[in-house]
Amino acid sequence: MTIVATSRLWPFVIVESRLIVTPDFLARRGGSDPRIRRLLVNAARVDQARGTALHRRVLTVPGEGAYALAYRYVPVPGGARDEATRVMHMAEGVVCDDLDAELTDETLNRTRGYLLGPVRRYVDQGWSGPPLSSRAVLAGESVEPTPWSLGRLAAVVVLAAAGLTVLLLALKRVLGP
Amino acid sequence: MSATTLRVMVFGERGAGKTLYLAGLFRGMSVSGPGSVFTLQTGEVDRLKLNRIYADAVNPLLKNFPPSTHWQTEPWRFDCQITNRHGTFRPLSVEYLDYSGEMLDPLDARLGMTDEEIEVDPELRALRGYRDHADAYLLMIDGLKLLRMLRGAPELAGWLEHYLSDQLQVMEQRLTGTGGRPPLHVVVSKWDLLDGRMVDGVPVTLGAVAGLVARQPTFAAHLDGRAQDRDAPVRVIPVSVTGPFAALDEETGEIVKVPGRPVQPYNLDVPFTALLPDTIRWRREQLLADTGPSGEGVERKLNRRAALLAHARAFVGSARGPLAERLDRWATRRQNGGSPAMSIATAGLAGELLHQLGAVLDEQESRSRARLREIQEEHQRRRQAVATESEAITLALQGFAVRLAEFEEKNPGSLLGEVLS
Repeated sequence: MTIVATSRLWPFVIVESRLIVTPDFLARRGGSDPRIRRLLVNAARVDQARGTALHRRVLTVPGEGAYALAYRYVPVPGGARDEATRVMHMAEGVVCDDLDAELTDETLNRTRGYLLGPVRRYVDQGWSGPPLSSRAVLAGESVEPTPWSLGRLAAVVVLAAAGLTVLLLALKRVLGP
Repeated sequence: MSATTLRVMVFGERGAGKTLYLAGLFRGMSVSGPGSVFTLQTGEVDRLKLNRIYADAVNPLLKNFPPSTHWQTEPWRFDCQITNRHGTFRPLSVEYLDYSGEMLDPLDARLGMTDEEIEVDPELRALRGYRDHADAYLLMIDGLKLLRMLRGAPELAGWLEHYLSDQLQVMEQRLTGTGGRPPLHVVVSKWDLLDGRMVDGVPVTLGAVAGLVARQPTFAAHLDGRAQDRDAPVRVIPVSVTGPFAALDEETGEIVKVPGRPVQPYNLDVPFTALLPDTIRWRREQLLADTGPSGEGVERKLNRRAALLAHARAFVGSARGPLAERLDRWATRRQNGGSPAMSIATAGLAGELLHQLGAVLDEQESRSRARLREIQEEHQRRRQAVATESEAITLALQGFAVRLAEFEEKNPGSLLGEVLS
Protein backbone atom coordinates (compact mmCIF):
# COMPACT_ATOMS: atom_id res chain seq x y z
CA MET A 1 0.00 0.00 0.00
CA THR A 2 1.43 3.37 -0.90
CA ILE A 3 0.27 6.91 -0.46
CA VAL A 4 -1.50 8.38 -3.47
CA ALA A 5 -0.53 11.85 -4.62
CA THR A 6 -4.01 13.23 -4.04
CA SER A 7 -4.22 12.16 -0.38
CA ARG A 8 -4.40 15.19 1.85
CA LEU A 9 -2.08 15.60 4.81
CA TRP A 10 -2.38 18.04 7.68
CA PRO A 11 0.71 18.45 9.88
CA PHE A 12 0.30 18.84 13.63
CA VAL A 13 2.55 19.08 16.64
CA ILE A 14 2.05 18.80 20.41
CA VAL A 15 4.77 19.92 22.82
CA GLU A 16 4.50 19.19 26.53
CA SER A 17 0.82 18.32 26.10
CA ARG A 18 0.11 21.65 24.38
CA LEU A 19 -1.28 21.63 20.89
CA ILE A 20 0.84 24.05 18.88
CA VAL A 21 -0.24 23.29 15.30
CA THR A 22 -3.54 21.62 14.42
CA PRO A 23 -5.30 20.79 11.13
CA ASP A 24 -7.41 23.70 9.93
CA PHE A 25 -10.61 21.64 9.75
CA LEU A 26 -10.20 20.64 13.40
CA ALA A 27 -9.53 24.24 14.37
CA ARG A 28 -12.72 25.33 12.59
CA ARG A 29 -14.85 22.59 14.09
CA GLY A 30 -13.25 23.07 17.49
CA GLY A 31 -14.26 26.70 17.65
CA SER A 32 -17.59 25.75 19.15
CA ASP A 33 -16.82 22.29 20.49
CA PRO A 34 -14.25 21.77 23.24
CA ARG A 35 -14.32 18.02 22.64
CA ILE A 36 -13.04 18.51 19.12
CA ARG A 37 -10.34 20.83 20.42
CA ARG A 38 -9.08 18.07 22.71
CA LEU A 39 -9.45 15.33 20.13
CA LEU A 40 -5.94 15.31 18.77
CA VAL A 41 -4.15 15.62 22.13
CA ASN A 42 -6.21 12.72 23.46
CA ALA A 43 -5.81 10.57 20.37
CA ALA A 44 -2.05 10.94 20.09
CA ARG A 45 -1.25 8.62 22.99
CA VAL A 46 2.43 7.85 23.28
CA ASP A 47 3.87 4.49 24.06
CA GLN A 48 7.20 5.45 25.59
CA ALA A 49 8.59 1.97 25.24
CA ARG A 50 8.48 2.36 21.47
CA GLY A 51 10.97 5.20 21.54
CA THR A 52 10.84 7.40 18.45
CA ALA A 53 9.08 4.79 16.30
CA LEU A 54 6.00 5.85 14.39
CA HIS A 55 2.61 5.49 16.08
CA ARG A 56 -0.36 4.89 13.81
CA ARG A 57 -3.98 5.26 14.83
CA VAL A 58 -7.38 6.10 13.42
CA LEU A 59 -8.75 9.48 14.40
CA THR A 60 -12.53 9.58 14.42
CA VAL A 61 -13.87 13.10 14.12
CA PRO A 62 -17.54 13.28 15.13
CA GLY A 63 -19.64 14.38 12.19
CA GLU A 64 -16.71 14.08 9.77
CA GLY A 65 -15.52 10.52 9.72
CA ALA A 66 -12.27 8.67 10.16
CA TYR A 67 -8.79 9.90 9.39
CA ALA A 68 -5.42 8.20 9.51
CA LEU A 69 -3.11 9.50 12.19
CA ALA A 70 0.66 8.99 12.20
CA TYR A 71 3.03 10.59 14.67
CA ARG A 72 6.24 10.09 16.59
CA TYR A 73 7.50 11.26 19.98
CA VAL A 74 10.86 12.84 19.34
CA PRO A 75 13.19 15.35 20.99
CA VAL A 76 12.46 18.98 20.29
CA PRO A 77 15.17 20.35 17.96
CA GLY A 78 17.75 22.41 19.80
CA GLY A 79 18.00 20.16 22.85
CA ALA A 80 15.65 22.13 25.12
CA ARG A 81 15.02 20.55 28.53
CA ASP A 82 12.06 20.58 30.87
CA GLU A 83 12.13 21.55 34.56
CA ALA A 84 13.12 18.00 35.51
CA THR A 85 16.10 18.43 33.16
CA ARG A 86 14.79 15.80 30.75
CA VAL A 87 15.10 16.40 27.02
CA MET A 88 11.85 18.03 25.93
CA HIS A 89 9.86 15.93 23.47
CA MET A 90 7.12 16.64 20.95
CA ALA A 91 4.50 14.54 19.24
CA GLU A 92 4.82 15.53 15.59
CA GLY A 93 2.71 13.97 12.92
CA VAL A 94 0.11 14.17 10.22
CA VAL A 95 -3.59 13.63 9.89
CA CYS A 96 -4.46 12.06 6.53
CA ASP A 97 -7.84 11.72 4.81
CA ASP A 98 -6.82 8.43 3.21
CA LEU A 99 -7.14 5.61 5.74
CA ASP A 100 -5.18 3.26 3.50
CA ALA A 101 -2.28 5.60 3.00
CA GLU A 102 1.10 4.27 3.99
CA LEU A 103 2.35 6.99 6.29
CA THR A 104 6.02 6.67 7.11
CA ASP A 105 8.81 8.60 8.77
CA GLU A 106 9.53 9.98 5.32
CA THR A 107 6.03 11.46 5.19
CA LEU A 108 6.64 13.17 8.51
CA ASN A 109 10.08 14.36 7.44
CA ARG A 110 8.45 16.17 4.52
CA THR A 111 6.02 18.08 6.70
CA ARG A 112 8.49 18.77 9.49
CA GLY A 113 9.68 22.07 8.11
CA TYR A 114 6.20 23.45 8.61
CA LEU A 115 6.29 22.69 12.33
CA LEU A 116 9.77 23.74 13.42
CA GLY A 117 9.11 27.48 13.52
CA PRO A 118 6.13 27.24 15.89
CA VAL A 119 7.94 24.70 18.06
CA ARG A 120 10.94 27.00 18.33
CA ARG A 121 8.63 29.84 19.27
CA TYR A 122 6.95 27.75 21.97
CA VAL A 123 10.29 26.72 23.45
CA ASP A 124 11.81 30.19 23.35
CA GLN A 125 8.88 32.39 24.24
CA GLY A 126 6.04 30.18 25.40
CA TRP A 127 2.71 30.16 23.65
CA SER A 128 -0.45 32.08 24.20
CA GLY A 129 -3.66 31.92 22.27
CA PRO A 130 -5.02 29.12 20.13
CA PRO A 131 -2.89 26.73 18.09
CA LEU A 132 -1.86 27.59 14.56
CA SER A 133 -3.91 26.01 11.79
CA SER A 134 -2.17 23.89 9.21
CA ARG A 135 -3.67 23.72 5.73
CA ALA A 136 -3.92 20.50 3.83
CA VAL A 137 -1.11 19.58 1.52
CA LEU A 138 -1.30 16.94 -1.14
CA ALA A 139 0.89 13.95 -0.60
CA GLY A 140 2.59 14.66 -3.89
CA GLU A 141 3.15 18.35 -3.14
CA SER A 142 6.19 19.88 -1.47
CA VAL A 143 5.56 21.52 1.88
CA GLU A 144 6.52 25.10 2.49
CA PRO A 145 8.07 25.95 5.81
CA THR A 146 6.12 28.18 8.15
CA PRO A 147 5.99 31.81 7.03
CA TRP A 148 8.64 33.87 8.73
CA SER A 149 7.79 35.59 11.93
CA LEU A 150 7.99 39.39 12.10
CA GLY A 151 11.02 39.19 14.38
CA ARG A 152 12.88 36.94 12.03
CA LEU A 153 11.93 39.13 9.07
CA ALA A 154 13.12 42.25 10.88
CA ALA A 155 16.42 40.59 11.73
CA VAL A 156 16.97 39.68 8.11
CA VAL A 157 16.14 43.24 6.98
CA VAL A 158 18.58 44.72 9.51
CA LEU A 159 21.29 42.28 8.48
CA ALA A 160 20.67 43.03 4.80
CA ALA A 161 20.83 46.77 5.44
CA ALA A 162 24.05 46.40 7.39
CA GLY A 163 25.56 44.29 4.61
CA LEU A 164 24.56 46.82 2.00
CA THR A 165 26.09 49.66 4.01
CA VAL A 166 29.37 47.78 4.35
CA LEU A 167 29.35 47.08 0.64
CA LEU A 168 28.72 50.73 -0.25
CA LEU A 169 31.49 51.89 2.08
CA ALA A 170 33.87 49.39 0.53
CA LEU A 171 32.93 50.51 -2.96
CA LYS A 172 33.41 54.14 -1.99
CA ARG A 173 36.89 53.37 -0.67
CA VAL A 174 37.83 51.43 -3.80
CA LEU A 175 36.52 54.04 -6.21
CA GLY A 176 38.06 56.90 -4.27
CA PRO A 177 36.69 60.37 -3.65
CA MET B 1 -5.73 -12.16 38.63
CA SER B 2 -6.45 -11.95 42.36
CA ALA B 3 -9.79 -11.21 43.97
CA THR B 4 -8.47 -8.25 45.95
CA THR B 5 -7.23 -5.16 44.20
CA LEU B 6 -5.92 -2.07 45.90
CA ARG B 7 -5.99 1.06 43.76
CA VAL B 8 -3.26 3.55 44.44
CA MET B 9 -3.51 7.13 43.30
CA VAL B 10 -0.05 8.48 42.65
CA PHE B 11 0.18 12.25 43.04
CA GLY B 12 3.23 13.68 41.34
CA GLU B 13 4.10 16.78 39.38
CA ARG B 14 5.67 16.62 35.96
CA GLY B 15 9.17 15.24 36.31
CA ALA B 16 8.69 13.90 39.84
CA GLY B 17 9.48 10.41 38.57
CA LYS B 18 6.15 8.55 38.59
CA THR B 19 6.70 6.40 35.52
CA LEU B 20 10.27 5.54 36.34
CA TYR B 21 9.35 4.71 39.92
CA LEU B 22 6.68 2.26 38.76
CA ALA B 23 9.05 0.72 36.23
CA GLY B 24 11.71 0.38 38.95
CA LEU B 25 9.23 -1.06 41.43
CA PHE B 26 8.16 -3.73 38.99
CA ARG B 27 11.73 -4.49 37.98
CA GLY B 28 12.87 -4.90 41.56
CA MET B 29 9.97 -7.00 42.77
CA SER B 30 9.35 -9.18 39.74
CA VAL B 31 12.29 -11.44 40.53
CA SER B 32 12.68 -13.42 43.74
CA GLY B 33 15.39 -12.22 46.08
CA PRO B 34 16.65 -13.21 49.50
CA GLY B 35 13.78 -12.92 51.94
CA SER B 36 11.15 -12.16 49.33
CA VAL B 37 7.90 -13.99 49.82
CA PHE B 38 6.27 -13.27 46.47
CA THR B 39 7.02 -11.73 43.11
CA LEU B 40 5.11 -9.13 41.12
CA GLN B 41 3.59 -10.16 37.82
CA THR B 42 1.81 -8.19 35.15
CA GLY B 43 0.49 -8.70 31.63
CA GLU B 44 3.02 -9.54 28.95
CA VAL B 45 2.78 -6.26 27.04
CA ASP B 46 2.97 -4.18 30.21
CA ARG B 47 5.92 -6.25 31.38
CA LEU B 48 7.78 -5.51 28.15
CA LYS B 49 6.92 -1.82 28.30
CA LEU B 50 8.01 -1.38 31.91
CA ASN B 51 11.21 -3.30 31.29
CA ARG B 52 12.00 -1.10 28.30
CA ILE B 53 11.44 2.12 30.24
CA TYR B 54 13.66 0.88 33.06
CA ALA B 55 16.33 -0.45 30.71
CA ASP B 56 16.51 2.88 28.88
CA ALA B 57 16.87 4.73 32.17
CA VAL B 58 19.83 2.65 33.35
CA ASN B 59 21.48 2.15 29.96
CA PRO B 60 24.82 3.99 30.09
CA LEU B 61 24.96 4.04 26.29
CA LEU B 62 21.84 6.18 26.11
CA LYS B 63 22.73 9.68 27.18
CA ASN B 64 19.30 10.79 28.26
CA PHE B 65 16.69 9.57 30.70
CA PRO B 66 13.26 8.63 29.32
CA PRO B 67 11.12 11.60 28.29
CA SER B 68 8.03 12.93 30.01
CA THR B 69 4.75 11.07 29.75
CA HIS B 70 2.36 12.41 27.13
CA TRP B 71 -1.13 13.66 28.08
CA GLN B 72 -2.71 10.33 28.99
CA THR B 73 -3.63 8.03 31.86
CA GLU B 74 -2.28 4.52 32.08
CA PRO B 75 -3.07 2.05 34.86
CA TRP B 76 -0.33 -0.44 35.70
CA ARG B 77 -1.58 -3.51 37.52
CA PHE B 78 0.73 -5.78 39.49
CA ASP B 79 -0.27 -9.16 40.92
CA CYS B 80 1.51 -10.52 43.99
CA GLN B 81 2.26 -14.11 43.11
CA ILE B 82 3.42 -17.04 45.18
CA THR B 83 4.27 -20.19 43.26
CA ASN B 84 5.19 -23.50 44.83
CA ARG B 85 4.49 -27.19 44.43
CA HIS B 86 0.84 -26.64 45.40
CA GLY B 87 0.22 -24.19 42.62
CA THR B 88 0.18 -20.47 41.93
CA PHE B 89 -1.51 -18.06 44.34
CA ARG B 90 -2.29 -14.42 43.72
CA PRO B 91 -3.64 -13.10 46.99
CA LEU B 92 -3.41 -9.42 46.10
CA SER B 93 -3.22 -7.06 43.15
CA VAL B 94 -2.21 -3.43 43.25
CA GLU B 95 -3.05 -0.97 40.53
CA TYR B 96 -1.29 2.36 40.06
CA LEU B 97 -2.42 5.11 37.76
CA ASP B 98 0.36 6.68 35.77
CA TYR B 99 -0.23 9.92 33.90
CA SER B 100 1.34 13.11 32.73
CA GLY B 101 2.14 15.32 35.72
CA GLU B 102 0.70 18.49 34.20
CA MET B 103 -2.73 16.87 34.43
CA LEU B 104 -2.70 17.71 38.13
CA ASP B 105 -2.87 21.38 37.23
CA PRO B 106 -4.75 21.75 33.94
CA LEU B 107 -5.16 25.49 34.55
CA ASP B 108 -1.42 25.95 34.08
CA ALA B 109 -1.03 28.66 31.46
CA ARG B 110 1.45 26.53 29.54
CA LEU B 111 -1.36 24.15 28.61
CA GLY B 112 -3.67 26.90 27.43
CA MET B 113 -6.81 24.92 28.31
CA THR B 114 -10.17 26.58 28.67
CA ASP B 115 -12.63 25.73 31.44
CA GLU B 116 -14.79 23.86 28.93
CA GLU B 117 -11.85 21.80 27.75
CA ILE B 118 -10.91 20.88 31.30
CA GLU B 119 -14.48 19.79 31.91
CA VAL B 120 -14.76 17.50 28.89
CA ASP B 121 -11.24 16.12 28.56
CA PRO B 122 -11.58 12.33 28.85
CA GLU B 123 -8.13 11.80 30.35
CA LEU B 124 -8.79 14.33 33.09
CA ARG B 125 -12.08 12.59 33.78
CA ALA B 126 -10.31 9.27 34.06
CA LEU B 127 -7.82 10.81 36.47
CA ARG B 128 -10.58 12.28 38.64
CA GLY B 129 -12.50 9.00 38.67
CA TYR B 130 -9.44 7.04 39.71
CA ARG B 131 -8.46 9.60 42.31
CA ASP B 132 -11.89 9.59 43.91
CA HIS B 133 -11.96 5.82 44.30
CA ALA B 134 -8.40 5.15 45.38
CA ASP B 135 -7.68 2.88 48.33
CA ALA B 136 -4.39 4.58 49.13
CA TYR B 137 -2.42 7.66 48.13
CA LEU B 138 1.18 7.89 47.09
CA LEU B 139 2.27 11.51 47.15
CA MET B 140 5.52 11.94 45.30
CA ILE B 141 7.84 14.83 46.09
CA ASP B 142 10.44 15.55 43.43
CA GLY B 143 13.82 15.21 45.14
CA LEU B 144 15.54 17.54 42.69
CA LYS B 145 12.97 20.26 43.21
CA LEU B 146 13.21 19.81 46.96
CA LEU B 147 16.98 20.19 46.83
CA ARG B 148 16.64 23.37 44.80
CA MET B 149 14.11 24.70 47.27
CA LEU B 150 16.37 23.90 50.22
CA ARG B 151 19.16 25.75 48.46
CA GLY B 152 16.95 28.80 48.24
CA ALA B 153 15.92 28.86 44.58
CA PRO B 154 13.65 31.93 44.51
CA GLU B 155 11.17 30.40 42.06
CA LEU B 156 10.58 27.57 44.53
CA ALA B 157 9.90 29.67 47.59
CA GLY B 158 6.69 28.31 49.08
CA TRP B 159 6.52 25.53 46.50
CA LEU B 160 6.33 22.64 48.99
CA GLU B 161 3.45 24.11 50.98
CA HIS B 162 1.62 25.03 47.80
CA TYR B 163 2.12 21.61 46.22
CA LEU B 164 1.15 19.68 49.34
CA SER B 165 -1.90 21.89 49.91
CA ASP B 166 -3.17 21.27 46.38
CA GLN B 167 -2.98 17.50 46.75
CA LEU B 168 -4.30 17.42 50.33
CA GLN B 169 -7.27 19.50 49.22
CA VAL B 170 -8.17 16.74 46.78
CA MET B 171 -7.84 14.11 49.50
CA GLU B 172 -10.00 16.10 51.89
CA GLN B 173 -12.69 16.59 49.23
CA ARG B 174 -12.87 12.86 48.85
CA LEU B 175 -13.14 12.49 52.63
CA THR B 176 -16.73 13.69 52.61
CA GLY B 177 -17.80 10.74 50.50
CA THR B 178 -16.15 7.96 52.42
CA GLY B 179 -15.72 9.08 55.98
CA GLY B 180 -12.02 8.45 56.27
CA ARG B 181 -8.56 9.24 55.06
CA PRO B 182 -6.85 6.29 53.37
CA PRO B 183 -3.16 5.51 53.91
CA LEU B 184 -0.84 8.18 52.60
CA HIS B 185 2.74 7.50 51.63
CA VAL B 186 4.86 10.56 50.95
CA VAL B 187 7.56 9.32 48.63
CA VAL B 188 10.62 11.51 48.12
CA SER B 189 12.03 10.59 44.72
CA LYS B 190 15.65 10.95 43.54
CA TRP B 191 16.76 10.52 47.15
CA ASP B 192 20.38 9.92 46.11
CA LEU B 193 20.53 13.62 45.11
CA LEU B 194 19.51 14.66 48.62
CA ASP B 195 20.85 12.09 51.03
CA GLY B 196 23.64 13.54 53.12
CA ARG B 197 24.10 16.57 50.87
CA MET B 198 25.15 19.64 52.83
CA VAL B 199 22.70 22.52 52.71
CA ASP B 200 23.58 25.55 54.82
CA GLY B 201 26.23 23.47 56.56
CA VAL B 202 23.76 20.77 57.60
CA PRO B 203 23.42 17.35 55.96
CA VAL B 204 20.03 16.45 54.50
CA THR B 205 18.52 13.48 56.32
CA LEU B 206 15.18 11.70 56.17
CA GLY B 207 14.35 13.05 59.62
CA ALA B 208 14.97 16.59 58.43
CA VAL B 209 12.86 16.13 55.30
CA ALA B 210 10.04 14.42 57.21
CA GLY B 211 10.11 17.26 59.73
CA LEU B 212 10.00 19.82 56.96
CA VAL B 213 6.99 18.14 55.38
CA ALA B 214 5.21 17.83 58.72
CA ARG B 215 5.80 21.52 59.49
CA GLN B 216 4.12 22.79 56.33
CA PRO B 217 0.98 24.43 57.73
CA THR B 218 -1.57 22.56 55.61
CA PHE B 219 0.17 19.27 56.07
CA ALA B 220 0.39 19.78 59.82
CA ALA B 221 -3.36 20.39 59.93
CA HIS B 222 -3.94 17.29 57.83
CA LEU B 223 -1.85 15.20 60.22
CA ASP B 224 -3.86 16.52 63.15
CA GLY B 225 -7.08 15.59 61.36
CA ARG B 226 -5.82 12.08 60.73
CA ALA B 227 -4.81 11.62 64.35
CA GLN B 228 -8.11 12.98 65.61
CA ASP B 229 -10.20 10.78 63.34
CA ARG B 230 -8.01 7.71 63.83
CA ASP B 231 -7.27 7.59 60.13
CA ALA B 232 -4.46 5.76 58.43
CA PRO B 233 -0.90 6.83 59.19
CA VAL B 234 1.37 8.89 56.97
CA ARG B 235 4.75 7.54 56.05
CA VAL B 236 7.64 9.44 54.51
CA ILE B 237 9.69 7.13 52.33
CA PRO B 238 12.85 8.13 50.47
CA VAL B 239 13.33 6.24 47.20
CA SER B 240 15.73 6.16 44.31
CA VAL B 241 15.39 4.18 41.11
CA THR B 242 18.99 4.44 39.99
CA GLY B 243 21.04 5.23 43.08
CA PRO B 244 24.53 6.59 42.37
CA PHE B 245 24.19 5.92 38.63
CA ALA B 246 22.39 9.26 38.34
CA ALA B 247 23.95 12.44 39.65
CA LEU B 248 23.38 16.15 39.64
CA ASP B 249 25.73 18.07 37.38
CA GLU B 250 26.26 21.17 39.49
CA GLU B 251 27.42 23.23 36.53
CA THR B 252 24.43 22.65 34.28
CA GLY B 253 21.89 21.79 36.99
CA GLU B 254 20.93 18.68 35.01
CA ILE B 255 20.60 15.11 36.22
CA VAL B 256 23.07 13.03 34.26
CA LYS B 257 23.99 9.39 34.00
CA VAL B 258 27.39 8.46 35.34
CA PRO B 259 28.60 5.38 33.45
CA GLY B 260 30.70 3.18 35.67
CA ARG B 261 28.74 3.94 38.80
CA PRO B 262 26.44 1.17 40.00
CA VAL B 263 22.67 1.14 39.60
CA GLN B 264 21.42 0.65 43.16
CA PRO B 265 17.66 1.09 43.60
CA TYR B 266 16.72 2.23 47.06
CA ASN B 267 13.52 1.47 49.02
CA LEU B 268 11.38 1.10 45.90
CA ASP B 269 9.48 -1.76 47.52
CA VAL B 270 8.68 0.02 50.78
CA PRO B 271 5.61 2.00 49.66
CA PHE B 272 4.22 -1.18 48.13
CA THR B 273 5.00 -3.17 51.24
CA ALA B 274 3.21 -0.69 53.49
CA LEU B 275 0.01 -0.65 51.43
CA LEU B 276 -1.84 -3.67 52.69
CA PRO B 277 -0.83 -3.45 56.37
CA ASP B 278 -1.76 0.24 56.51
CA THR B 279 -5.05 -0.39 54.70
CA ILE B 280 -6.03 -3.24 57.00
CA ARG B 281 -5.23 -1.30 60.15
CA TRP B 282 -7.09 1.70 58.83
CA ARG B 283 -10.18 -0.35 57.96
CA ARG B 284 -10.07 -1.94 61.39
CA GLU B 285 -10.05 1.48 63.03
CA GLN B 286 -12.78 2.72 60.71
CA LEU B 287 -14.95 -0.24 61.52
CA LEU B 288 -14.63 0.30 65.23
CA ALA B 289 -15.33 3.98 64.78
CA ASP B 290 -18.37 3.22 62.60
CA THR B 291 -19.95 0.85 65.06
CA GLY B 292 -19.68 2.94 68.22
CA PRO B 293 -17.61 5.15 70.44
CA SER B 294 -16.18 2.36 72.56
CA GLY B 295 -13.97 0.09 70.54
CA GLU B 296 -13.59 -2.50 73.26
CA GLY B 297 -17.30 -2.59 73.99
CA VAL B 298 -18.06 -3.11 70.35
CA GLU B 299 -15.54 -5.89 70.16
CA ARG B 300 -17.13 -7.68 73.10
CA LYS B 301 -20.54 -7.25 71.56
CA LEU B 302 -19.38 -8.67 68.28
CA ASN B 303 -17.58 -11.51 69.93
CA ARG B 304 -20.84 -12.70 71.44
CA ARG B 305 -22.22 -13.38 68.03
CA ALA B 306 -20.96 -16.90 67.93
CA ALA B 307 -22.53 -17.88 64.65
CA LEU B 308 -21.01 -14.98 62.84
CA LEU B 309 -17.64 -15.64 64.35
CA ALA B 310 -17.78 -19.25 63.30
CA HIS B 311 -18.50 -18.09 59.80
CA ALA B 312 -15.64 -15.64 59.95
CA ARG B 313 -13.20 -18.26 61.16
CA ALA B 314 -14.38 -20.62 58.49
CA PHE B 315 -13.68 -18.24 55.69
CA VAL B 316 -10.35 -17.15 57.08
CA GLY B 317 -9.21 -20.75 56.89
CA SER B 318 -11.04 -21.93 53.81
CA ALA B 319 -9.20 -23.25 50.81
CA ARG B 320 -10.95 -20.89 48.37
CA GLY B 321 -9.72 -17.84 50.19
CA PRO B 322 -12.84 -15.69 50.49
CA LEU B 323 -10.80 -13.34 52.63
CA ALA B 324 -9.78 -11.64 49.46
CA GLU B 325 -13.36 -11.36 48.35
CA ARG B 326 -14.30 -9.78 51.65
CA LEU B 327 -11.60 -7.16 51.28
CA ASP B 328 -12.72 -6.52 47.76
CA ARG B 329 -16.31 -6.07 48.89
CA TRP B 330 -15.23 -3.48 51.42
CA ALA B 331 -13.32 -1.67 48.73
CA THR B 332 -16.33 -1.79 46.42
CA ARG B 333 -18.67 -0.59 49.13
CA ARG B 334 -16.36 2.31 49.86
CA GLN B 335 -16.23 3.16 46.17
CA ASN B 336 -20.00 3.29 46.23
CA GLY B 337 -19.99 6.01 48.82
CA GLY B 338 -19.09 4.64 52.21
CA SER B 339 -20.77 2.28 54.57
CA PRO B 340 -23.11 4.10 56.94
CA ALA B 341 -25.70 1.37 56.64
CA MET B 342 -23.33 -1.50 57.17
CA SER B 343 -25.23 -4.22 58.91
CA ILE B 344 -24.14 -5.51 62.28
CA ALA B 345 -23.71 -8.93 60.74
CA THR B 346 -21.29 -7.70 58.12
CA ALA B 347 -19.57 -5.54 60.69
CA GLY B 348 -19.15 -8.60 62.85
CA LEU B 349 -17.49 -10.58 60.13
CA ALA B 350 -15.33 -7.71 59.03
CA GLY B 351 -14.40 -6.83 62.59
CA GLU B 352 -13.30 -10.31 63.45
CA LEU B 353 -11.34 -10.63 60.27
CA LEU B 354 -9.60 -7.31 60.62
CA HIS B 355 -8.72 -8.05 64.22
CA GLN B 356 -7.19 -11.34 63.23
CA LEU B 357 -5.17 -9.73 60.47
CA GLY B 358 -4.21 -6.80 62.67
CA ALA B 359 -3.03 -9.18 65.34
CA VAL B 360 -0.94 -11.02 62.78
CA LEU B 361 0.70 -7.75 61.81
CA ASP B 362 1.32 -6.54 65.34
CA GLU B 363 2.79 -9.81 66.47
CA GLN B 364 4.94 -10.15 63.40
CA GLU B 365 6.37 -6.65 63.68
CA SER B 366 7.47 -7.10 67.25
CA ARG B 367 8.97 -10.48 66.51
CA SER B 368 10.72 -9.33 63.41
CA ARG B 369 12.69 -6.61 65.09
CA ALA B 370 14.49 -9.28 67.05
CA ARG B 371 14.94 -12.01 64.49
CA LEU B 372 14.79 -10.55 61.01
CA ARG B 373 16.98 -12.99 59.19
CA GLU B 374 15.55 -15.97 60.97
CA ILE B 375 12.06 -14.91 60.05
CA GLN B 376 13.00 -14.38 56.43
CA GLU B 377 14.31 -17.92 56.28
CA GLU B 378 11.19 -19.12 57.96
CA HIS B 379 9.12 -17.29 55.36
CA GLN B 380 11.01 -18.98 52.59
CA ARG B 381 10.18 -22.35 54.12
CA ARG B 382 6.56 -21.37 54.61
CA ARG B 383 6.36 -20.11 51.07
CA GLN B 384 6.86 -23.64 49.91
CA ALA B 385 4.05 -24.83 52.16
CA VAL B 386 1.38 -22.33 51.09
CA ALA B 387 -1.61 -24.32 49.88
CA THR B 388 -4.51 -21.86 49.96
CA GLU B 389 -5.24 -18.27 49.01
CA SER B 390 -5.74 -17.42 52.68
CA GLU B 391 -2.35 -18.82 53.62
CA ALA B 392 -0.86 -16.86 50.78
CA ILE B 393 -2.25 -13.53 51.97
CA THR B 394 -1.25 -14.25 55.56
CA LEU B 395 2.27 -15.04 54.48
CA ALA B 396 2.37 -11.95 52.27
CA LEU B 397 1.26 -9.84 55.23
CA GLN B 398 3.95 -11.32 57.40
CA GLY B 399 6.51 -10.60 54.71
CA PHE B 400 5.29 -7.01 54.44
CA ALA B 401 5.50 -6.59 58.20
CA VAL B 402 9.08 -7.82 58.30
CA ARG B 403 10.19 -5.46 55.54
CA LEU B 404 8.38 -2.54 57.15
CA ALA B 405 9.92 -3.25 60.52
CA GLU B 406 13.34 -3.35 58.91
CA PHE B 407 12.70 -0.03 57.15
CA GLU B 408 11.32 1.65 60.27
CA GLU B 409 14.26 0.51 62.32
CA LYS B 410 16.63 2.18 59.90
CA ASN B 411 14.41 5.24 59.46
CA PRO B 412 12.83 6.06 62.80
CA GLY B 413 11.50 9.42 61.57
CA SER B 414 9.52 7.99 58.71
CA LEU B 415 6.15 7.77 60.45
CA LEU B 416 4.27 11.02 60.86
CA GLY B 417 1.40 11.67 63.22
CA GLU B 418 -0.11 9.08 65.49
CA VAL B 419 0.38 5.48 64.57
CA LEU B 420 -2.53 3.11 64.67
CA SER B 421 -1.91 0.13 66.86
